Amino acid sequence: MDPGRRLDELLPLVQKPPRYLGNEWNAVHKDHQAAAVRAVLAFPDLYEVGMSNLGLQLLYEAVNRQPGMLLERAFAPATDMEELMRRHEVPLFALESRRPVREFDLLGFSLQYELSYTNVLNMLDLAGIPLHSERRQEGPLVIGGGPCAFNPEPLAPFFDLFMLGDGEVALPALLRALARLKKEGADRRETIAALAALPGVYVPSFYLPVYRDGVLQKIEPLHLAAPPQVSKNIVADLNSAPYPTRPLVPYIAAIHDRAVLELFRGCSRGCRFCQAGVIYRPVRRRSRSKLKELACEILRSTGYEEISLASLSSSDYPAMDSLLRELAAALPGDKVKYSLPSLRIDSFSVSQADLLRQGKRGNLTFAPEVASPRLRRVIKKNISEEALFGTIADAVKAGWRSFKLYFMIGLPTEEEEDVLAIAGLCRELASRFRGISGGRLRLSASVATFVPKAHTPFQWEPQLSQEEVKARQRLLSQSFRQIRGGGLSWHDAETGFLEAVFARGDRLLSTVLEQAWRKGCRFDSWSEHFSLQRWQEAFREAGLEPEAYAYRRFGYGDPLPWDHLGSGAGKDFLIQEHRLAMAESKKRLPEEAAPVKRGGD
Amino acid sequence: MRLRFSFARLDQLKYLSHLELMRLMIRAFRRAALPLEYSRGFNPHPLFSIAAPLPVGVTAEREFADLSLSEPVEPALFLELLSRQLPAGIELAGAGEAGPQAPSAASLVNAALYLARQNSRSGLPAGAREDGAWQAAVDCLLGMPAIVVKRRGGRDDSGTVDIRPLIISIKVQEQEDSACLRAPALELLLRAGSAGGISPFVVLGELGIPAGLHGLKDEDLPWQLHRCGLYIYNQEGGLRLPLPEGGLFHWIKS
Repeated sequence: MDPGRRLDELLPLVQKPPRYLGNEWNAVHKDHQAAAVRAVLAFPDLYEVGMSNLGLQLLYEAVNRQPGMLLERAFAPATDMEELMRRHEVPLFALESRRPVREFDLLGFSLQYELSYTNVLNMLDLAGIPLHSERRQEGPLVIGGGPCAFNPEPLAPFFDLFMLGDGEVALPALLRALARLKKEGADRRETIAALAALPGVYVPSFYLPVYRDGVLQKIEPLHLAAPPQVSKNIVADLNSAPYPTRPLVPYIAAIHDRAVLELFRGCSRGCRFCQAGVIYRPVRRRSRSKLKELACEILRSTGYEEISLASLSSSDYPAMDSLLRELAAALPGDKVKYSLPSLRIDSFSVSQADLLRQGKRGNLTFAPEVASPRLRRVIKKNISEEALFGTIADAVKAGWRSFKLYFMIGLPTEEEEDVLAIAGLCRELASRFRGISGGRLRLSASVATFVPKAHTPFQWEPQLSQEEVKARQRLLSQSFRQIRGGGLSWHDAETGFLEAVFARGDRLLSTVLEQAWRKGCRFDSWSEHFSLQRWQEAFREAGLEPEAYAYRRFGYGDPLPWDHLGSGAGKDFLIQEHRLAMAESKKRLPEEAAPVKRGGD
Repeated sequence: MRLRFSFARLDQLKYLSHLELMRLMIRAFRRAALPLEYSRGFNPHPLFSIAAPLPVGVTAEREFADLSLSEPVEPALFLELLSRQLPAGIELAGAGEAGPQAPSAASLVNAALYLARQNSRSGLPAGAREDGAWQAAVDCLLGMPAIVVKRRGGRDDSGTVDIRPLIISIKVQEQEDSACLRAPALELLLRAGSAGGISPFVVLGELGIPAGLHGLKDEDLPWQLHRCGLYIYNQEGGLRLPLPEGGLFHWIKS
């Protein structure tokens, strides 16, 4: 039976059928016969999560704009649909054509976060594609891209290749090469070897990690086409690069229901815990005129009412006020709302905020991360207390009442007093501004747990133990109780732990990953599905200890599982940054000798 | 000015909820660059309303909606501009100007006509019955002085409601399709809209037909539900379309 019909019969039986339709406004349905190469972009999470990802929209349009190639989408089916698909033998399908994913030439996974890895395996299994790269005879090439490609080692046996860095130019180029190789009749082995020569392409089977007594010694290139270090792709000029001006408009509410405008890529700040700042470097901006042009086209082609000015640190865009004014002037007057996520306290101004929300003021979000001067210097996110208080004072005077502050605990050199300082800061903010705001100030703090990430100055540092994380969360929770109008939320310590394990993971973890998936682990970033117990069993059965990954302190000279992958930041630079951080930690500046008296301490 | 327009919802988009359908329309209006009129106050939204929510899973051929525009637009032009921005699965049927003080379609509509049909499949469909058994089941249901069902939704679990007054008529239509001889179509005329309505799924459920979404075992054959039209029903049994008084309604010839 035609796969489309079989699928139609399952749709009445599942939650949110529009997840599986593929007929959204701006969806591209190309003729399969006319395409020399056909690819699927697989996002290993639910439709609603994947559709909020800008990278997906970017690659979708970048490839589909090219003649002779097509890109369709596949998402992780929700568990109810998965159950029906397995029962009725419906393999994983691409949304637009409803064809089985295994019939395409290339299957590309967007690897945004480590806890999506079991979904990757599940989707391969649902597709009927052998999990292990070496067992694949025919069927699509399985590739991966996105932030996790900078340390994809736990996924290495399951992927034919990875692509590092910007994809909007490199992916069409790879597909063109693949089309040519197909035409020339190259077999699978020859194809992969030829693609390895393309910039930014990492073929894991061309490298061998060498261990002695369980300790990594080196990562040896095995193939002539394998460079000692793979360099990431960088699109130099974002103004001339493809950008989605006809983005897909989902029917069901995605996590964010608005147009996205990428102001610039990369970040100049260099906060020491942040991996995104490193892997998306160098900073490349779009010009104001280009942004205006894009904004107009996007609103015209979608009908969205809200446009998000997105970047890692949006308010750092130079002359942001001018940009906002020009956008407001250029865009059709009908009630376009702007949102500016990722505000930097020291470059944000309330006049910007006012241009953003017309009428109802929602939430303003800032990320101070820490509350003590010493830790600020250690992580190099040096926003002074005065700046924070000043900005919030301005915002409150201008009518804003609801603030969300992001903090992080478990950072290297952190002590209990640093954690208490977070509560102290919030308490001070609440009491100082409650007067001005007429008593209706809402302050919610969200506390993340530090995860040491590859390619950052803190990559050598261990994660704080789960017990200690929980203890510090409890400490914060108690201190927060006394703050009126204050709310506290935090990330679950167990998922943070698993994230650290895989972020610092090597190829040995692939057996754990496979075992965990076989035991039923899926959607690990969703609390209703995550099962630490199953993961612990998987580790035990594989004979590996997760603590050895999360809690290991590396020395500067130790080989790291990701040394053969180049993020653009050299190891010397990272070592220097780490040394500076440790030195900062030991300094006690005069003003810190007598800590600021906070009411209620 | 106020425009009343009619539209159909086809198979491809029958799984959209009422809110999703509203959002789809509003985005289409914006893409068409129509001069929308917005409500006042803190959270301005376009002055747009659909006459009666269309349940998920139900196709429809003649729905009605009202839209306020800040500048006059000829109904024929409106239809042309909007059609270009609508996805496959929504089709416009017609439009006309409604007076500024005229009652909204949502306040006028009080009845809906549905057609329930089994999907044809090879082999004997589940839920099939002996000839004449359908008519008997319908007669039996309509003959009851009251049909009491649990009140769905709301805080009050204990509440029940008598839905008999909300069922205006049920007709059994024999199908010509030989594969479905034992599974005729049912025509349901039910109360709908702001004055109180009943879901066709509930009525079918009372006839022993599993037609609602979710909770369906996939052995049960899904029924197709189609809303043929929305009406103003009066006690004498008359059915009128909620067209604007006086003005011309421009129907698209198909």
